[in-house]
Amino acid sequence: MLRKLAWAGLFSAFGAVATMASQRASAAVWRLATGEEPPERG
Amino acid sequence: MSDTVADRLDRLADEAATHGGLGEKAAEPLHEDATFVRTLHPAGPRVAVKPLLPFAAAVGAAFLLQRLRGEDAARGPADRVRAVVARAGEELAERAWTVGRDARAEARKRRAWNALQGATGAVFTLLARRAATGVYEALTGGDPPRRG
Repeated sequence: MLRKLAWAGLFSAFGAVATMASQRASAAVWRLATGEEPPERG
Repeated sequence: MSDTVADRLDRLADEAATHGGLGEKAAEPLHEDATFVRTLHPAGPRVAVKPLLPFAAAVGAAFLLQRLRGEDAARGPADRVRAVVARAGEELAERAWTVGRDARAEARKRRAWNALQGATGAVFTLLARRAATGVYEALTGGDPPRRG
């Protein structure tokens, strides 16, 4: 049980950071490539 | 320290087993937990650093890219308000520009943005899994649990 909890916590933490970083990275790439702000959601 | 925690878990399991019923059922996972705690690397965070490096580099690069763009350059509250108003103005101008313009081009742009986000997200998710696996292996000396 502890093994699964430890793995879930570890992967969730890395996943959250990765999501934030990937959002920033794609926005930066978009701005570099197009010179515009990325499209809004919705 | 891990031995102390493991010993406590073992004692707790033994104690629970003596009560029978639910306690007896809880004893086995508690013993498993004690075994798991004993596998944890005593050097802990120090050995976990190495597998973290590629992930940290990617995340750092992403944040640095944004910083270089000057997104977070605003310092005081007044600067932030100016930035928000300026951005709102830009968005309004962009909306005004699209009035009566090609909706297909907008849709294409959105698709390209979605594809870029998907690709970047996939790469970062892979990196996150690899880094988490590396840290887990460094800490425990075993593979992470599989799904199911």
